[in-house]
Amino acid sequence: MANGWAGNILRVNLSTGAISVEDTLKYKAFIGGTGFGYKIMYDEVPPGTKPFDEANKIIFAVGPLTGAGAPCSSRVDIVSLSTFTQDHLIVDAHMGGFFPAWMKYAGYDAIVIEGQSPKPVWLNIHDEKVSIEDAGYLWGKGTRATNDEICAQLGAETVVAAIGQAGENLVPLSAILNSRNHAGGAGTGAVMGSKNLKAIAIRGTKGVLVSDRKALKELNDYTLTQLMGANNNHVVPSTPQPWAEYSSPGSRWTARKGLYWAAAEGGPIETGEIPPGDQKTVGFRTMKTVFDLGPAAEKYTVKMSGCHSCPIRCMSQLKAPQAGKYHKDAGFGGNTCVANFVHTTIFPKGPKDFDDKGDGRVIGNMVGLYHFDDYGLWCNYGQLHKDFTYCYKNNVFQRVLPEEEYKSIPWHLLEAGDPAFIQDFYHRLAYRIGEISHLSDGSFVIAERWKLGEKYWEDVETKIWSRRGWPVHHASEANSQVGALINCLFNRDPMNHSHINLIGSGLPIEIKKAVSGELFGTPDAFDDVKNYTPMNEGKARYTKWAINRMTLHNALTLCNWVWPMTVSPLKSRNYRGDMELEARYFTAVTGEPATAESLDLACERIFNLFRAYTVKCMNTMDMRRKHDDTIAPWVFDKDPNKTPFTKGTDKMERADMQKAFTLFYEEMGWHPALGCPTRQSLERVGLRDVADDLAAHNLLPA
Amino acid sequence: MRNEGHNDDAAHRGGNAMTTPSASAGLLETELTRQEFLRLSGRGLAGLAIAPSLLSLIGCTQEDVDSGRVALTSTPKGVLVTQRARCTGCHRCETACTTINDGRVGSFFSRVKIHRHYFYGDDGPGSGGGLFGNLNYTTDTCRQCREPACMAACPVNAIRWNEKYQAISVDTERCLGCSACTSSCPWAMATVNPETQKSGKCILCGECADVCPTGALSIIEWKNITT
Repeated sequence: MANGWAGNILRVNLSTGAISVEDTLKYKAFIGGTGFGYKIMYDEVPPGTKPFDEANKIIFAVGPLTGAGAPCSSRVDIVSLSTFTQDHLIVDAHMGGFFPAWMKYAGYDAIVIEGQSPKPVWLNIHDEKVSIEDAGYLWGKGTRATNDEICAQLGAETVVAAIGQAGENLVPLSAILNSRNHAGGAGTGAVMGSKNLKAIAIRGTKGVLVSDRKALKELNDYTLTQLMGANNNHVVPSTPQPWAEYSSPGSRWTARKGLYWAAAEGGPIETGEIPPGDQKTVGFRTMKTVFDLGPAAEKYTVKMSGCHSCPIRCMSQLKAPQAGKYHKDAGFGGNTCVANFVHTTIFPKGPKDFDDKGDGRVIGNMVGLYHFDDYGLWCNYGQLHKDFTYCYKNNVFQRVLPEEEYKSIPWHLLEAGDPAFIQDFYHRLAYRIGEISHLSDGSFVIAERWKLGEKYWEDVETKIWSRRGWPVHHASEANSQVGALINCLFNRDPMNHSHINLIGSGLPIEIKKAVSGELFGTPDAFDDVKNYTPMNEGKARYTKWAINRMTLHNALTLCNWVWPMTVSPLKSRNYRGDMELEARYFTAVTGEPATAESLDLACERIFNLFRAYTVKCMNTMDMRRKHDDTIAPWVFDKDPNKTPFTKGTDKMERADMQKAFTLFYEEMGWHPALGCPTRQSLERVGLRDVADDLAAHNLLPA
Repeated sequence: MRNEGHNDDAAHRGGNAMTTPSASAGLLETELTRQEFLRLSGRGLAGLAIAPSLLSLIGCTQEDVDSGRVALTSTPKGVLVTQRARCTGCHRCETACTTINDGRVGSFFSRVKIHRHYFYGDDGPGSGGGLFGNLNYTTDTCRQCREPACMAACPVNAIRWNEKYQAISVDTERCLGCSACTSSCPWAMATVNPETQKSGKCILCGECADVCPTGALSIIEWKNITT
């Protein structure tokens, strides 16, 4: 055991039943999380492997800060092969909740699942004691009943990550759930299902050893009182308040006078005006019930919650008996962000209201999110629902569904905005019933299967980003070329918030530009919303920074939905954050010296390895044309009467985007035309073995 | 700190050292002193009429206390207040406790305990509480009992009054890690850390209350209560 790291990687081979432990520290150069996941996949899963093959692996990996008391540190990366994007390349899902911290408390930095069990099983981890248990009695159950059964058997403190019926039935858009509503998506539920692995249950009695407890405490106090804002590190309140120089209506710092957790036990609790500096009020800053579901949600808000060790409570907790009438367990619950509000977006006329104006969104989503999470479905950042809407509006269902199936679907409930439609729809998806269930094969598959044609890729509302099958996730609408580049480089939506957090921070553009100038060498790296400038080198540096920070958070692990602390809520700090903060936490916990620069190098190592594995699995060096430049045409053709780089549009320009690729590849030290790693770029980050391997496969440019 | 069951303290310990609720009802309205509070040590204050000035200080009502929504535990240092409705389950109380007291961050051996109640509530699986139920879960910790069962059960007298902490705490130099303290405590509070083989329980350092991001935990010191 070392400070920070637990020291052990658990390997479980479900084909042979072999359970073994190996030393984490051989992978230490990759820090943890995605670093470990990518390294193990590169070394052990050969190109050509498909997600449901016995040879595929699924790796749950955490890092030295996970569970170690740093704020927002209970995050696990789940690395495997994509079930839903073109070529089934490497992807990572990100799951919060309690499972990540409990991996560490049981003594593991990673859990590597190999092979396929001949029958349904679950994995029972109690510190060093690990056993494979028969899951016959759990198979067919939802994630909640699975959790209940295992906890009834092992005790209430057990943390369970489980798949529902969607994962069992190999639904490509499926998730793994822990602690009721904390999901890791990207099809990882189906990969677990293909291995006949229903759940992983952890009891952990250990602790994460800390090098300098006093320094860690001081860092926590410093972060909570001086640096951290609200969810997405929004640092100004959403309404004008006496203490605040600035406010911004879009800010997730929703706390204000007169806004209550109105359904709290014992009577309403006011979120209030809570100036920064007092860590005892940080948990009231973000009220995602009303932010996600509208003002009608206030009445139903019991409290907020979220992941282990995170003071930013971003997960809604609602009570609505109306939802309980649709299912007995749907009357209490909630989630955050897309998983919280996406369910009622399929209603063409909006959800039907119950008692008050706007409460249909609350109740419809409570019903939807209950079933969605219980089945273990995954929405691909809302693309599933956008694809449904596209197909409904364009009569695709009428065209491709067999007549009998089409008639069996209660379309009148859809038109009526009735949550019962969502129940019927999700049941079909989770059990793979009928042609409509192929919606959850993902956009890449349905575009071909249902012959959606060019019109689908051109649709501005549907917002698919890549022809390889993933959606917009803070892309060109978020800092122009910076967001666009970030959205091109992974094999799913990038899950990157380094840039959007700064954009949405609520600070005036002048401050954001000044911060960009300090970080990226020029204020011109940062464009205002819908007021873009052509590509420049500062934007390439900004893009690399955003990817490095996300990679760092996915390795340490910290939540990139709150981190990095680029800005602060304090005027006394001139709103400046602290870019050395991750390094200081790393040192306090592990005892090893680190700087932002040294950690950046490790992040480049991790990201280059990811890129090299993508090159290897696609068997091409031409990443620009084959992988990155697959942006859907609407990005360049929207707003037909407007010209790119004029005020009022976030329309992009094709030639400029090519320049963006080139400048970014140069910033990474990659081949400027092909966009693949070079020997020099790999050796600079200590990946000579990878360079040799790519060269041996003729995948390294001369 | 659940109040339900606290009135059974005496029965649990085979003694009758506690003031009965009826005898002490009204006490707090009159002359509240630290010594008198300490006579009630080891129990919650449900069933007692609490002085309006104290309720106002805590920010709750008599009904909150009686229903268990707000738990008050008298300790040598002050009254530990747990407001269940404010708890969002972040477990930062546990991470802060173990950071400063253990130098290793965890949950199982934390002196303050939320995890055991988080998923299924204060009464466990099947009760309808917790994250999987009605969203109620209460943080719990050592009650600093007046006649501690853990102290009586410890075979090496490792559990003693500690002048520095002003609390009954574990002398880790003497502790053998036998877990007699855990099994003798009606709430299984003292916990042996499996890695160090030493028991630990709350030393009233207040770290958990200092970091609670919603103020669900707080300690009101005697100097602010007694007059």
